[in-house]
Amino acid sequence: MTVILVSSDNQDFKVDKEVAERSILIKNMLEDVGESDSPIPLPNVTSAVLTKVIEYCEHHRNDPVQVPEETDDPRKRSNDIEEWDMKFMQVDQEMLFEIILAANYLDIKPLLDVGCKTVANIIKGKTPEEIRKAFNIVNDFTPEEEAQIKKENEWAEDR
Amino acid sequence: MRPRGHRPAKSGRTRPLSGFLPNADNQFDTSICRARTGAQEIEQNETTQDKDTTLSTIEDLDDPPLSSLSSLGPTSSLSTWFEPTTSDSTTLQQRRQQRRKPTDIFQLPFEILVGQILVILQLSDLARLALVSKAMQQLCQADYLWQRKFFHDFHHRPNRTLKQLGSWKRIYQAMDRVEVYTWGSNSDCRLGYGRTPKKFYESVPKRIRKLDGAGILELAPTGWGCHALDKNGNVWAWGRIMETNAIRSDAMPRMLKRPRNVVQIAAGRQVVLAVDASGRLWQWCRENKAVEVTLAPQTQQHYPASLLSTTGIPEGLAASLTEERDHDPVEQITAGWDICAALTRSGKIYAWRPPLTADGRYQHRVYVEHSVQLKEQGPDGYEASTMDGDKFVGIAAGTDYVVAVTSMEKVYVFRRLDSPHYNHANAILSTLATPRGASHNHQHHQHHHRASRHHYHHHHHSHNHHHHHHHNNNHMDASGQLQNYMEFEDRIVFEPEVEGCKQERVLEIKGRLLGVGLYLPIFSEALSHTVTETYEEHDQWERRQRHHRRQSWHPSTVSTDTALTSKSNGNLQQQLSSMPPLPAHSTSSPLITSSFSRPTTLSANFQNFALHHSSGKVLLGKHDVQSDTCPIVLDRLLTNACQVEFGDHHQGLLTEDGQLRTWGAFCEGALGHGDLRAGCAIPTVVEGPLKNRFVIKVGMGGWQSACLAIDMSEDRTFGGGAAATPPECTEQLDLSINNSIRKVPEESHIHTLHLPSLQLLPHPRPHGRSLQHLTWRYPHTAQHPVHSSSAPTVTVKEVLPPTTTLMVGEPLHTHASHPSGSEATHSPRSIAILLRQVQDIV
Repeated sequence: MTVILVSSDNQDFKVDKEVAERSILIKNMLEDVGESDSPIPLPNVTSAVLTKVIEYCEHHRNDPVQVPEETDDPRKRSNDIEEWDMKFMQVDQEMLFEIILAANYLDIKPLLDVGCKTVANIIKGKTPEEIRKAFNIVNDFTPEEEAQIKKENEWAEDR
Repeated sequence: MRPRGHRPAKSGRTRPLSGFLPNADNQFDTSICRARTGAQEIEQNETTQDKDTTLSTIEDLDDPPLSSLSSLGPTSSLSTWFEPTTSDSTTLQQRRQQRRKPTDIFQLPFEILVGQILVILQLSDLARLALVSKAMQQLCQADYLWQRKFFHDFHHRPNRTLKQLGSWKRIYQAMDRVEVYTWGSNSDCRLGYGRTPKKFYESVPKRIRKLDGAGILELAPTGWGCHALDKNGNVWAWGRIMETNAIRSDAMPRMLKRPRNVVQIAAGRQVVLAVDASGRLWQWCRENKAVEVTLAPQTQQHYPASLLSTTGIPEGLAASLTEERDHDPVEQITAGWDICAALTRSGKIYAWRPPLTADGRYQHRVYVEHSVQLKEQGPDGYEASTMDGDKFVGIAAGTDYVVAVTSMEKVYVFRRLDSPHYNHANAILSTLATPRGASHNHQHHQHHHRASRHHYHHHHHSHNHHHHHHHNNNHMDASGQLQNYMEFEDRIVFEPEVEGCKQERVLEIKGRLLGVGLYLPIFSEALSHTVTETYEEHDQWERRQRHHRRQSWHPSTVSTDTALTSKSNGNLQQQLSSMPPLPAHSTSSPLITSSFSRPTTLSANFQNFALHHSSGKVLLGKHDVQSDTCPIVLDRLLTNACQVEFGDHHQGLLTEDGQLRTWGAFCEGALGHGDLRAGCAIPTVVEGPLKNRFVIKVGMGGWQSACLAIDMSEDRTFGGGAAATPPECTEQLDLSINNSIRKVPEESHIHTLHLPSLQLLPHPRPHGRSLQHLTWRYPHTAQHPVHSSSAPTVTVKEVLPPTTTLMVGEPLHTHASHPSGSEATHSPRSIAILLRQVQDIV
C-alpha cells in the first residue's frame, strides 16, 4: 500500500505506507483518517527536503520501532552516528537545518537525533573563532566581557 | 517578552513547527485533513509529554528560581523563535514566501538547539561555545540546558537539598564534583588509597583522590574491595573481589576494560553483577573475567543437557533469548554471599549461585533458567484474594536469601533450602511432587527432599508446640502445586583457565537448589501502612499486631512500632490529638494509597535487610525473619532516611539532608567515628572530612564503608564568579530544651519511641542503674506541615526499664554518652532511636 505525500511546492511523492509511517505524524494521521488514498499535504516541507527525508525513511524502513522507555536512561543513548547516516548527513548547513526541522515536524525521532548529533559534531572541538566561522556568527563581545566569561567557565574547560 | 505558553522548559518534546512557522495551526485553511493535523499535533504533544519520564521527573522538581528563559532578552535573533501570531488572512502562499530559510543556527527552535544539540556537547565545548557571541552565551547559561544536561549526564534524581542550590547549573556543578570517600578495614588495600603498609584501617572517612572528577555515580562494595560506576558507564575496581591470594588486589581504583556502557552494578561478597546499556547482564569475580549471564524465561521448554551446545546455550535458543531479553529487560540486580538475583521488568526473579571461587576455574557462561512469579497467597487471612496485576518490583540479596517486594507492597523472603533458617517447609513437603514439569530433575528432587526433611525435623523438634498457627499454604495453589518457590539452577560450561587453549569444554550441570518464598504479612502490612493513614487504621493494625504477637513463638521476634497508640504514653497521645486533621485521601485504604507511590527500594547484606518505602519509612529485618516476625520500623518523621545500607556488623543510614549516620560494631573503623572501639548503637553522624559535605550515596561492604559526597563549601562549588551565595544545605531546627520534664511511668511498655528530634545527654548513673535522658519533640519543619502546628512539646523520658534496649539490641547503658564525646547536640530530627522491648526469653 502506498500513500501520496505532497510537498510545499506541490510535488507528489508516492511512498510505501511502511516508509511514510516512520513519521509518527503521518502514522497518526493515517490511523485517524483510516483507509483513504487522498494525498497528504505537508505544507512545511519542500520537495528537496522531502526527498532527503524519504531517502532516510526508505533506508531505515526495517528498523525496530523505538520503545519509549529506551530514553529512560540517558547513558543508554550513544553519541555515535552510523556510517550510512553520517554520509546521509553530508549536506550543506541549510539543508541540515531543514532536515532537522522537517524531522521535528514530521516527528521522526531517529532522524532528528542524527541531525542534532551532526550539528553537535560540527561544534565539537572547535575554538570559538572556528565556531563563529562555521555558523557565520559575529563576535559581539568586548575583550573584557570575553575575559569575564572565560573566567566563569574555567571549571568546565578541561572536561 | 514571549507568551508564557511558549516556555520551552515546559515541554520535553518540541512542539512541531514552533519558530519555523509560528502559526502553523492557522494556516491549515482548506482540507479537513489539515484541520485534523492540527488537532493531532496537540493531542500528540499531550501524550508525548505524559510518556516522557524524564520530563515528568523534571517537572516534579520545584521550578528553579532563576528562570533562564525570562532572563533571555528579546534579541533580534532569539526573537525569531517565537514570532507573534499574525492575522489569519495571510494566505498559505504568502506565508510560504515569508518563511525564512533556516540558514542561521539560531533559527532552530530553542528546544532543539538547546535541548537536543547543546545538551550532548562536552563541558569544554560548551565553555568555548559561550565565547562565540552574546546570544550563544545566553544559551549556554540557560537553566533549561543545565536541567537537561543534568539528567543526560547523571543518572540521579537531585534531592531536596541539591534543589536548594537554586539553578540547575549549580546543581550540575555540584554533582560534577562528587568525591569518593572510604573508611574501615584496609586489608587487601580495599580502601583504594594505594599501598600503605602501616595503616591497617582507617577510622575516619578519607577521600580517594584518584576518583576526583571521575563522575562516580554508584558504589558497590564487595567483601574485600569496592566497585564503582561512573557517569560514562565505566566500572572502577579496587581491593579484591575474592578471598584468595591467587588474585592480586588493586591498591588504587582501576577502570575495568569490560563490561562497558554499564548502567547498573551490584556486588555481593565475592561477585559483581552489571547490566550494560544493551541490557546484557554480566557477572565476574575477578578482573577481566566478566561473563554474560543469560536468563531463560520459565516458558522456555526444557532442553536436555545433551542439546546444549558448547557455548552453553542451545542453538536456536540464543536468538529467542536475546529477543526475550529485549522484551523483558533486567531492571534490577542484586548479589549476596551465596546468591545472585535479577529482576526483570515483567516482575520475574531469576536467582543463581555466584561463580565458584578459589579453585581457579571460571564460568564461561551462566545460563539461569528459573524464575519466580507471584501467585496468590492467603496465609492467616491477611490477603486472601488474588491481586491481579501484582508483580515483584524490588529485590535485595543477603547471605543466602532474597527479599522481594511487590508493587502492592507485599514482602517475601526467598531462601535456599539449605539455609538454616529455612524451617517453614512443613506444608511444602507433602506436595513437593513436581514444581514444574521437568523430566530431568529426578536427582534434583532427591536432593531437595533430603534437605527439606532435614529442616522439617529440625522445625518439628524445636517448635512443634508452636507451629499450629503457621499456615504456609501460601506456597500452594488450588491444585496443590508449589508456588512461590525459587529454583537455583546453573547450567555452567567450564573451560580451562588458560585462554586460547582450545580444549573441549566440559559441560556440567550443578548447583541445583530449591528455595521457597515466604510471605511476610507483618512486614507487608507495616510497609503499606503509610504515615498518611488515619489513626483508627493504625489502631486496628496495632490490634492485629498484638494478636499476632501473642501467637508469636520465635525467640528473636521483636515487638516494635506503633507506640503511637500505646495507651500508656499519654504525652504522645496528646500530641497526636493536637495534630491537624489528616488529608482527605488518607481515609482510603493504605493499600490503594500506596499502590500509586513509587516502588519500595530494598537493600540487604549479610544478615540484615531494609525496605525503604517511598514515604520515607524504613523497615529493618534480619536474615532469620519468619512470617510472624515484626519489623523494626524507622519512621520517616524521625529518620528522614533515603538510603539504608549494611556492612557485616555495621549499618549506615543516609538522610535526605545529606548526612550519613552509622551505627553497629567498630569493624576496624568502618563506622567512621574515629577510634571508638566500643562501637555505637545509635545512628550517629559521620563527621570528620564529611563535615561540610553533602553525602549522596553510601555503600557498605564487609568491614568497610564508602560514600559519595559533594563539597558544599562555597569556594569549591561556586568559585569562579558565581554571584549568589549558596543557600543553606540543611534546615535548621531549633532545639530548645523545655524544662517541663515529665516522667513516664516506669511500668509503661513502650515498644517504639518515635523521636523526631532528640537530644541525648550523658547522665550519671545513680545506684548503678542505667539512665538516659531523651528529649524529643515533633518536628517543626516545612516539609512536615502536618505536624507543624503541634506544639513543640518536649518530653523527657527518664529511667527506662532495664529490659529496654536500643535499636540493635545493645544494652542501654553503653550509650550513655555521645560517642564523639561532644555535647551530644545531634542535629535534630534525623536521629533514629528505637527502643524495643526484649521479650521475656530468659
